[in-house]
Parts: sequence; C-alpha cells; structure tokens
Amino acid sequence: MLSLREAQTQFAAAVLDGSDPVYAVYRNNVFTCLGRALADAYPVVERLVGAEFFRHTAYRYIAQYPSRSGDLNAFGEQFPAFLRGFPSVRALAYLPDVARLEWLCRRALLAADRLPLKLACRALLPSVQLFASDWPVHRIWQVNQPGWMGDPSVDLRLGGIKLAVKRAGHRIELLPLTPGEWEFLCSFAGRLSFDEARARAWRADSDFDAALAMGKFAEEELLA
Amino acid sequence: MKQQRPAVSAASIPVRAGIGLRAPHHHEILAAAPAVGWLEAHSENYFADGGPAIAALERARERYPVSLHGVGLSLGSTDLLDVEHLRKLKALIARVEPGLVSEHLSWSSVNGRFLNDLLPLPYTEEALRHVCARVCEVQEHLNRQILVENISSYYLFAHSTIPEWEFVAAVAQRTGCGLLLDVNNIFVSATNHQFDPSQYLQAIPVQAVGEIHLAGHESNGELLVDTHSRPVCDAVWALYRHAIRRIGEVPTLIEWDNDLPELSVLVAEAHKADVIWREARALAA
Repeated sequence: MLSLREAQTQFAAAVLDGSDPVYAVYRNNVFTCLGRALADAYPVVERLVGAEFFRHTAYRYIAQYPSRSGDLNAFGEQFPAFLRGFPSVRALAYLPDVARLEWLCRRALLAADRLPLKLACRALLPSVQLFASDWPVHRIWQVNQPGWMGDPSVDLRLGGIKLAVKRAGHRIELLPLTPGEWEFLCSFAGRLSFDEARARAWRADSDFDAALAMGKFAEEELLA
Repeated sequence: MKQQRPAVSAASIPVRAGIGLRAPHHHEILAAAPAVGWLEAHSENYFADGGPAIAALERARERYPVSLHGVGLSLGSTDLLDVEHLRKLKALIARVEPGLVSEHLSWSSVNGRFLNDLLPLPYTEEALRHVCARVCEVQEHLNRQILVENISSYYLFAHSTIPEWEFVAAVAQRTGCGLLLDVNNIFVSATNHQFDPSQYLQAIPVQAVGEIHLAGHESNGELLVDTHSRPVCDAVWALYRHAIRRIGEVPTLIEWDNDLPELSVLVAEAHKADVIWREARALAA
C-alpha cells in the first residue's frame, strides 16, 4: 500500500502536471489561488500588461517559483527577478522595477508599527523602504493607482527616481528623495553613524543640508 | 493519545450566526457594526507584524467575538510542521484572544512545496495516526484546543480503508480536538462521491462539534465545487436543519470568499441561519 508520503508526493505531482483531468479541480484551485495572490501583490503590473496576459505570466511564475509557505502574503517575492528574465515582457524594460516597487509596498504594508525597543534609536521605521530605479517608476505607479484622475501619460525620458516608500494609515505614499537624502537614508539604514551618513550625503550632493533633511524626515515620519 | 480537553474560551463565541471578516468589508464592518453574533478571520491574512490589516482586526475584536480559522498550516502534510507558521499563529492568538481556533483536516504541502489548497487525505490507519499526532503537536504548542474542519473533496484515494465520517470522528476522539462541521462540505463531498450525508452526520460525535460552517458551492458540470461564491443553497439549509437537530447549541458561520457581495447579503444569510436555528430548537423543545 502507498505510504502517506508517497500518496502526497504523487498527488501533488499529478495536480501540477495537469495531464490527468481527474485532478482538474485541484489544479484550477491551485493556479487560481496563487495567481490571485500574485495579482494582489502586483496590481500595477497587472494593469500595465492586462489581466489576461498577467494570468499567463503568473502561471509561468507559479510553475517556476513554487510557493514555499502557507501564508499567501509571502508568495511572489521573486516575481521582479522572474520578469527580468521573461522574454515576453522584454519590450517593457521598466516592468521589473515596477514589480520591485510593488513588493516593497507589500512589505511596507505588513511591517511592524515600531521597532523593537532595543533598536529604537535613529533608524528607519520598519514600514519605510528605500527604492531606486533608472525609470520614472514613481510616476508609472502613481498614474496607475485606482481613482487616479489626472493625466495618465508617462514620459519615460523623465529618467530615474529615488524614493522612500512609506505607510500612511492604510495607504502607501511615495516620497521622492534628492541624491543627498538618498545617501543619508541608505547610510542610516546600513546602521552608519550620523556623522558618517552626513559625510556620504555631502559626497553625493554638495548642497545637502543635514538639519533640513532631518526636519523633512521627521515631518514625513520616516525615522523611529 | 487521548488528551484531556484543555479549558477553552469557546463560550466567548455566542451560539448565533457569525460572518467571515474579509478585507473589502473591513471599513464597513467597523463603521456600521452590523448585527451579527461574531466574526471569523482567516489567520494567515493577519500574520503581519503591523499595518492596516491587523489594526482592522484588532478594532473589530473590540466589538465582536472573533474566531481564527487557518487555511495554511498543512495539518495533514508529511513534511515537518512549519514552526514559523505556528509561531505567527500563536502570536496572533495572543494578540486577538479568539474564542475558537480552527484548521482543516487536509494537507497543502509536500517536499517543501506548497499548493495552497485544501488537499484530501487518504483515509487509512497510517494517515489517521499521522494526523492525530499532528493535531496533538499543534494543541500542545498553542496550549489550547483547536477545531478541525472536514473539507470538500473531488478525489478519492483507491487505497482508503476508512469512511471519511469515521476518520473525522476518530481524530476528535483520539486527540480531544473539537470539530468544525462544514455542512456544505459534507453536501458537496456526498454529491461528488455518492454517499448519504445523513449517515455522515450520524457518525459525528455530537459533543465534539464546536462550530458549524455554511457556504455556497457551484457545479462545474461534473462535480460540485466548494467555491464560497454563492448564497447557501436550499439543500444545504435542509442539511443544516438536520445537523442542528442532532448537534444542538453551536455557533454557525456564513463563509463567502469569491465574488464577495455587499456586506448586507452576508448579514442576511447570517440572520437566516439564526431563524432556522431558533425554529429547529423550538421544534426540539
């Protein structure tokens, strides 16, 4: 008689293989559920490529990058890397970066409200993520949010962007950063001292004003 | 393997109908506080360390008794229990103080790969021993009783030797866990596998049942599929009447996950369950 482990191994293989219609309901459940989880994590990517194409892409991803957790919020982390190597989206060179930004938004939404007490000094809040791209991903993200009423066009010649991704209540906000602010926050996130962070920010941006920047970070609630 | 039933605060879930708490309804439930007895949340949806989802659940918990219903623990898997998943569940339990905690009598992972679906077990002595050991492990880890739910199934293992209803009953008897009796799942599996659902109900140890689930299903032409996308159908309401005449006072939950309707539709379904429950109790009295 089949052991339980053998039975489960064979059953899972048959569901994923898909050639035997006996397992069709399960196969449909698995791909629908994981596909929906991916669409929940990457709504802007889905909007950019269309629901039908996204589903096709998601199925390829699911087959290549198995889910490793019973928590669906953990599914989809490698999707940006997958998109970078996915020939069908090569024409949309900015798409992997849009996905990278969306994963950071997901992380920001799930992060702790505050730091553990022992770390609660001069650090980024757990819900703040730093993001840089050579594409105007900030603008692409903005005009593809539900309810966006403004001009939907994006000029890709706008070039790159550096951002702080932050949580404000139940929403995500993107805060553009100057090169100096970016260096400063990256240094901070890397646990460098205030003086070292300031020195690096100056090297990146001779106009960097640490006092002004700290005021902005406090106002935007980026730091613990 | 039989354990003493740990003291459980199940009493804090009232013997009334509740509804599933789903993210699109968070705002409205908090703003309008609909008249339902309690709410059930999918545990994994609130595994976050912070942020808006867990905040909404905590606010809902201030107004309603809450039950936590897991879909991802993979109780029946032969992989090692995911200790990180259990740690998060335990932390969520500490945070929300649910009246009931439930999981499914199924598996969803093997060799480290998750299919994230409720997959059926072969009903054999080996599977029974395995699942019972896992239920005990989880109850010990969480230091509380859990309820285990019967699933809808679309496949029967040829080497099964035990009828599902005897398997379910044995898990409760051997581990001291409670049962979450999903009446729709019984109906769906009974139709798909052509058994008599009242025979299933008859085999269930009444005192172990801590909660009942009701939901809608669809047909794909060949099989009934437990889609949680419809109102509860008349045949399932009839089976529910039959179940509560036998089981008596347990909380009932209306589940709805796909094609989620207006909140008022869920509330109306819950009220319908309350009315049926009162009628059935009046008849029994």
